[in-house]
Amino acid sequence: MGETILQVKNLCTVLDLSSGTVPVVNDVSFDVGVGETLGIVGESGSGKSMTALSIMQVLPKPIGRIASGQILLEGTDLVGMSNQQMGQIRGREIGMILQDPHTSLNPVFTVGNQVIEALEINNPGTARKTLRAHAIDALKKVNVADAERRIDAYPHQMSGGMKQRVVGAIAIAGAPKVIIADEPTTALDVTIQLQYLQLLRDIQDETGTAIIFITHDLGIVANLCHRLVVMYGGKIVESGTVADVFGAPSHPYTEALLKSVPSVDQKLDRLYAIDGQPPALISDRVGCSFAPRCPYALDICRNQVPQESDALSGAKSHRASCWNMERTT
Amino acid sequence: MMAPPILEVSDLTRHFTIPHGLLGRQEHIVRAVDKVGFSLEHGQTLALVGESGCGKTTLARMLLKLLTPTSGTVKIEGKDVGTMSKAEIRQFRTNVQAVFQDPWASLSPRMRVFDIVAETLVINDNLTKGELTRRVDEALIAVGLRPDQAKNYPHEFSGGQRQRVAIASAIIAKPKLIILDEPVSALDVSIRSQIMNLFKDLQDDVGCSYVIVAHDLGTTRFMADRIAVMYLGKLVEIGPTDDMFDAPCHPYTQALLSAALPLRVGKAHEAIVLRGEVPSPVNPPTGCPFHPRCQSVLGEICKTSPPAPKELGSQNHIMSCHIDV
Repeated sequence: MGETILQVKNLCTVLDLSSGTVPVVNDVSFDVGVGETLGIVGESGSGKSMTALSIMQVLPKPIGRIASGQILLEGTDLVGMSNQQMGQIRGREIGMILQDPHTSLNPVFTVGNQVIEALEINNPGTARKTLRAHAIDALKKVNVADAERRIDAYPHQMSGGMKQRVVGAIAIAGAPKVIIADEPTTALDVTIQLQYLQLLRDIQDETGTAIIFITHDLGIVANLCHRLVVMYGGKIVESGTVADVFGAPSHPYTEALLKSVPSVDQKLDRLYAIDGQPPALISDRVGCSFAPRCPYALDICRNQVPQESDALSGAKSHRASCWNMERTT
Repeated sequence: MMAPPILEVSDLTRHFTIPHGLLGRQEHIVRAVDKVGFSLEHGQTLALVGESGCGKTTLARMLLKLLTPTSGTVKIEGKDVGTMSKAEIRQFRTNVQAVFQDPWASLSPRMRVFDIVAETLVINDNLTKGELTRRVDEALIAVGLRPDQAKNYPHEFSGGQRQRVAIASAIIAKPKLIILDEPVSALDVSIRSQIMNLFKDLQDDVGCSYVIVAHDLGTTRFMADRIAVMYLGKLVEIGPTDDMFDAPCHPYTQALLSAALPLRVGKAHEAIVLRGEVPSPVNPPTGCPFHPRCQSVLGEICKTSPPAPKELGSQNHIMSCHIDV
C-alpha cells in the first residue's frame, strides 16, 4: 500500500457523564495508507464509532471530548483545531458515510440539492448549472440509474440502497483523501450490500482514497479490507493484515468472534458462544476488559492491563494485547 | 394415517390496496403475498428468506392470525385457522407463539418480567399462584435467566437478556409452533450465537417447530431444515437447507446465496452481483417477476408467462422458473 495518509496516535476520548468521566476510546493507535482499506471491528460499546467521531471531531456535545492523543492527516494534527479549521477538513479531506441512509439525508431537499451543496462547498463560486452537471456525474459514478431524472427526486422517493448511493456521492463530492464508512451496509439487503461494497472498491481503485470501514461483520472485512483492528471495551485488542489475523487470531476475543459466526459454507450443530455480556462503560477498570468472559483468563489478566506484543502469526505488523497468547489454561 | 403436518399453507394470498390519484379514489393493489404454499413437519425449522419488501413479514403475520388472508388457507395440525371457533382460537393463541426482532420494543416497559412471561398462562389457563410461579421459574431457567430476575423490569436487562425474556414468554405455554421474526439481528455478534444455540436446545427439549424470518444467511443455514426463498410476494424456490446452499437452482436463489460473504481470506469471492433493485410491488414486472434482474433469463417466455412451480428430483425441492435443471 501507499504512504500513510492518516495516523491516529494514542487517542483517548472520554465522555463526561454525571456519574463520572468515562473513557470510550482508550489509547488507540492505527494508521491507514493511500489506496488502503482498514477495517475497524467491534460490537456496540467497543468504541469503534466513537473513534470515527473523534477523527471528524463531531463527538456528542457537550459530554464528549478528546482527552489526549494525536490525529495526523498527512502529518498535520487535527486535535485542537478550531471548528472553522475542521470545516475545511470535513468533506474535503475526510468524507463520511453513516449507517442509516434514511436519516443521513435531509427529507425536505431534493437529493440533487444536497449533492450540489457538497460540491459548492468544495468549489465556491461555480455556476449553479455547472454544479448540476457535476452532481449528475457524481450520481452516475455511484451507479444511480437515470441520474438526470433522479437528481430532482426527494429522499423519500428512493429506496434505501439508492439513498446510500446518494450519501456516497456526497461523501466523494469533495474528492476526500480518506473516507470513513460507519456500518454503511447494515441497513441494506444482502444483494444491495454486495453492489455497494463493489462500488466502494471501484471508487478506491479510481481515486486511491483510503477507506476506514467500521463494521461488526467479519465477512465484509475478509472480503473488502486489507488490514483490520479489533476493538473491545474501548481498546484495540488485536491488529494486523486480514490474512494474518484470520489465519492466526491471537486475542481470545478475535478467536471467539471468528468462531461464533454461523458459517454459510456448512451446517453446524452448535455455535461457539462467548459467555456473558460486552463490558459496560466504567471508569476504573483494572486488568484486561475481556477477562470476565475469557476462557483462558489467568490471575494476571484480572489485575494488570496487557501490553501489546507480537502476535501468533509472527508477522511484524500483527500485534495483540493478551497475557495468555499461548493459551496455557 | 399420518398425523397432519404442524403447518400447512396453500395458495396463501394477501393484497393491500393503496389509495391513489385525486382524493384517493383510485386504488393500487399490492400483492404482498401471492399464492404461496408450503408445509412444515413437527420439530422442523423453515426459514423464509428474501429481500425487504418480498412479503416475508406479511406471511409471518398471517401465520400468526394477525392479518387475514385475501385468499388461501393456513392450517395448523390440519385445522383451518380462518374458520376456527372462539375456543379453538384460544387454543391457537397458546399453540402458536412469536419472538420479534427488537427486544426493546416487544416488552412492555411497565410490566415486571414475571407478568410478561406469565401473561399467556394467566389469560388461557386457570392456574394457582404457586403453579404459575413454578412455571415462570421453569421458563426463565430454560432460557438461562435466574428465577429471582422475575421481579425486575425490562430496562434492567441488556439486549440479549431481554430477548431471553421474550423467548421465555413465548415458550411458557409449551407452544407447538414459534414464529421467529429476525430474532437475533438486533443483538450483538457475540450474543447472537448464545441465542441461536438456545433456540436449538429448546427445540431438542420440547420438540417445537420454528418458522424463522431472517436476512442473515449464516443464521439461516445454522437454524433451518428447509429454506423458502421469496421474491416480490412469490415463493420462487423451497427445499432442504443443504441442497439450497450447495446447489441452488433458481437464478434468484443463486444470486441471493452468493451474496453471503464467507469468512475466508485470499480467494476472491465469486458473487453474482444482481443488476438494479427489487421492483415496486405495486407494479411488478410481467411474466416472471425476477426477469428484469435475472442473470440467466431465457428470452420472451420469461417476460410473458409466469413460471409454474415444478418439482426438482424430490417433492421436497420445488422452484418456479422456466429454465431446465
